[in-house]
Amino acid sequence: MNSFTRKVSIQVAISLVVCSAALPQGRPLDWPSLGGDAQRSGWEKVDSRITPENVKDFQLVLKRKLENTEKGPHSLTPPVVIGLLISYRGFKELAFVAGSSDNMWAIDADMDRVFWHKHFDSAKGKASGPCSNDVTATPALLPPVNFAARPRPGAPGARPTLTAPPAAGAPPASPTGRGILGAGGFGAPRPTFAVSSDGKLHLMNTSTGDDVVPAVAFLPANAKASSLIVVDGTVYTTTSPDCGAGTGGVWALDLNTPDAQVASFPLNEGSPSRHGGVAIGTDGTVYVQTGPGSLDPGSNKWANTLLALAPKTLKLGEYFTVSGASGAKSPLNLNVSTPTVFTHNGRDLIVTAGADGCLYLLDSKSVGGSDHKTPLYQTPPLTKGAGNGIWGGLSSWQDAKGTRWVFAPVWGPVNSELNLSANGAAPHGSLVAFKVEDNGEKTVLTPGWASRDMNSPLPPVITSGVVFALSAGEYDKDGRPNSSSRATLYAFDAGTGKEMYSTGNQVTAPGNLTGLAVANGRVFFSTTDSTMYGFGVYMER
Amino acid sequence: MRRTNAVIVIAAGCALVWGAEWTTDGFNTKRDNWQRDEKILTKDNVKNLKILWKIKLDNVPQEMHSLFPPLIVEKINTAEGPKEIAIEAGISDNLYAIDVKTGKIIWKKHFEYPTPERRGRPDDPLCPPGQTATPVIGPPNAAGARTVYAMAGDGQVHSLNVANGEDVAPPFKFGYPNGKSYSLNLYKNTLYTTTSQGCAGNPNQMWAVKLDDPNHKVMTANPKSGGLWGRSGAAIDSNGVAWAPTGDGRYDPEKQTYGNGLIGAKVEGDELTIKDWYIPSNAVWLQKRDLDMQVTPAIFDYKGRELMVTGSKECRVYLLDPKSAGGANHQTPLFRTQLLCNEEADFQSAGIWGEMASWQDSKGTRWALTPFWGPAHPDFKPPLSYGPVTHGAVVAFKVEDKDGKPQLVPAWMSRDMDQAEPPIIANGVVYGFGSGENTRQAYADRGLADKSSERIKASTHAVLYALDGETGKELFSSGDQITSFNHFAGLSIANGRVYINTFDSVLYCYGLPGH
Repeated sequence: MNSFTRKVSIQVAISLVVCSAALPQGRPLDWPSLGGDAQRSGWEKVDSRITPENVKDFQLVLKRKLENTEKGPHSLTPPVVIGLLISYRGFKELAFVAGSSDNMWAIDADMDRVFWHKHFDSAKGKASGPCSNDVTATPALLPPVNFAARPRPGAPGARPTLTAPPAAGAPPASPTGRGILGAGGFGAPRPTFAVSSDGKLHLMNTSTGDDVVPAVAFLPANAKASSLIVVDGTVYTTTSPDCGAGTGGVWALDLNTPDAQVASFPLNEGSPSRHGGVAIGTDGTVYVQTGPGSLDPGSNKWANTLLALAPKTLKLGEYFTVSGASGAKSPLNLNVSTPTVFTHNGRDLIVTAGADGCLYLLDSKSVGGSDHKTPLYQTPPLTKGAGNGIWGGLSSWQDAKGTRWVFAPVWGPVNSELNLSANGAAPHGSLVAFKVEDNGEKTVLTPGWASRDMNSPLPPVITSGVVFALSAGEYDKDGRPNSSSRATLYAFDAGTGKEMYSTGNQVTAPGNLTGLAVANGRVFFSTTDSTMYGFGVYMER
Repeated sequence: MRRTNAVIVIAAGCALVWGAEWTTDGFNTKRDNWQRDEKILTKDNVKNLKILWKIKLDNVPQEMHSLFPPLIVEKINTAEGPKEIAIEAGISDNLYAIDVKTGKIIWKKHFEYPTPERRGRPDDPLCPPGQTATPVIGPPNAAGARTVYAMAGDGQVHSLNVANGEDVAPPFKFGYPNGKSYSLNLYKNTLYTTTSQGCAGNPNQMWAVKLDDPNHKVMTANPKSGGLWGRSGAAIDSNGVAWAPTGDGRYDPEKQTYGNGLIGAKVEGDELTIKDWYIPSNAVWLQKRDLDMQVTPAIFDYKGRELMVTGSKECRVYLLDPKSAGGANHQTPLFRTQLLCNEEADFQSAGIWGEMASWQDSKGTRWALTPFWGPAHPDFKPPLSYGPVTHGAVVAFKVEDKDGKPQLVPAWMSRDMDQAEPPIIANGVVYGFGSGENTRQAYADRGLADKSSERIKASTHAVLYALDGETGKELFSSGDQITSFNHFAGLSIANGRVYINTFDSVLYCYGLPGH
């Protein structure tokens, strides 16, 4: 190799390396599901756009009122986000939001424009009350591709492609025999997954909103499906037994199978959290926390229990039941939370909230111990009193020193017995933080901090050492918002709970009880007047 | 005697009428695309343009590339006498010398070399193999001979006698095989080019080599970006600074990373060094949406100072001072226009592509012109326009002072053109063309799927236009006369002839019959 060629080769290597890293303030990030990942951590691990230094300069960067017929605390889901879609109309960052009136929107997150809108033409049932026709499930995306890993098609992390399902009796459409989701590969279209009120699963072209394949029968109609999650080509969600006989359960639809088989774990009592539904362990185990009711496994009544189900088949593995829990239900579903899963010392741990308002730390190797009632650790109740409790779900983050934190949104004053480091009086509610620590041979949840006062806090999202939490505004015990109250987004130092930012009076309605998302320098949430908000780092256009 | 003298005077006068050449892409080293010496074609007669001749060359297209803007040089002493010659380069390593009077080939050269190890992915329009740089013709030597410098697909520069195609010097290495070099520029005996898209592993950078350096040391300046793909390579200002857009990429001056901007590099000694740069203040946005800076600027004189204009896929035009392109922070232009097009912020089929143009009319008004693709922006409303623009147009600005600072004032927007390409100007007439190229790269059902074969199939045909330079009014259209499209080609004009070529390797010569 002569000097000219050698010099060129070196420069080529440099330019290729540089070009691969050349992205605006970090690579485009996806937020593919409620909580950001299958473990429902709420933690965006790599968004370099947000820093503790710049969060104070957050601006309103998106405000888009969407035409959803129904208003109220579940009118819009939080978005799931594709950080970069090379669409037929250009490079886009798209936020996909479901509306309770059988709507789905794709919003151009940079330009604050509706990119497309679809209305599900679903057959309406005659359900009334809390299960009236509404779409409640946050949509989901396939997890982002890990280019470095180059997974086998069908393996966790693989990006399957799509083919139409075969007609009845016909051979599989895909030459691989893989059904709706075929072989993997770069450049394949990325669908967004959504459920309409008739219980059908839609795989929607992210560029147009068109169904990529005909909608697939998945759930009972009008059954308050919780947020979707897609792992290894299988879509998971839960439905509520409160919507009628036979409507409750945990559901799995394996899109890798030629005929898109549905598996279910019936729940005749013990409604799961409507917020997140399931959390998935790193080994694929499906964890779901049920709510009040009676415990009678033979009748599929699993109240106040954390279930550990096998991936895809949903066969029961282990379970943990909170002893002596109350059977009283609340419209707000307090103390029925989506658990969060994380790895600690080489194994999955699960944190869930019990009906008694305590946090329970469980070991995936033996979820409830031999008696199904023994956790690794139990905190005191986070709050006390009727109408108070933990709402929606839990979040988790690991700091730069390797310490794992767990966050819980608490409605009502925090129990003083916890000795949390306070950031001012918090009579209405707050976000509380615990550290996961090893105390001798035991792993415990050590009280950390409680935030400033918040009205109806939602499960937070975390990035770059900053916790973003939404105070949704005033809600009564029946889950009805005070329309004159306002949602406020806060940013807290994740290690201390100190307030770093507040949206003040910029938001003009109560927050929806559906959740937050964080991606590409922005935090998103919605309000009861069907408006989607984004606050974040300003980008000049 | 008096009659004979009169004939002599008339003949001499006619000889003086001639004298226009087009020896480099973009007309000159500054890439202003303004043919100053055109005397034959006027606003009044250009409507009578006809195809004087067309010739199908035996050049094989590669991906979507075929022929490049022809270079025109006159008074070449050939074996058959003095001729005005068009030097036409083809992607498949072909160089043709064509008698512009007859449309006949005088000589042809094909560059032979072992097939390089690497080439771009087949069916990928981004990295065609072969000769991709429009050549350049040097000034006459003492004997009046002219040399054309052409860079073959193996990266070797050939120096050929324009009269007969013979080598006048041994070839020397200047680039990487199949490395996609852009148009050569020749400034004070130094050749410049730029490269992009990392084709065949080639670095994306600016290149320079001194013709009189016996070692032909290759000098490079690398902005660490996605590619310097301005259509006519680098434009060189009067101080010898070569300016080129850097395409996609990050901006991090501490790491000498100048993506999404315009760099100026200068040869000092035997090094090519980046001296200055301009990065738009919304570079993060440009990168996020792939709206890169990728337009060769046009450099021109304005009231005693030198200025330049460039553009981006975002569809803005920037007015810059080459002495300090972006001011102290490198991000402050003299002027930046509103969005002319691309309301969708699309990376394909929209925005400004290629190169700019500039001319000064007889009243002393300085003009700057840009093409753009796609629909006009709904908020862009120039004083003169000619119907809805949905596929592309040429926009003309006047350069005027306001509060002591130069700015670009919109004057007119042309009629709709199917993918409007960079215009050229001659004698008060703007010549533009719609390439007819299908420029789609992404699809609703497939996402990004940029394939030469599909785009070629979906392309239509080019149309040549002549417009009044002061109003933009259409004076001529070739209609359906040109039967194929072109891709990354260009126009040339000299001595009453306008040249345009197409994907099917046909070179068209338009002119006025009898002139």
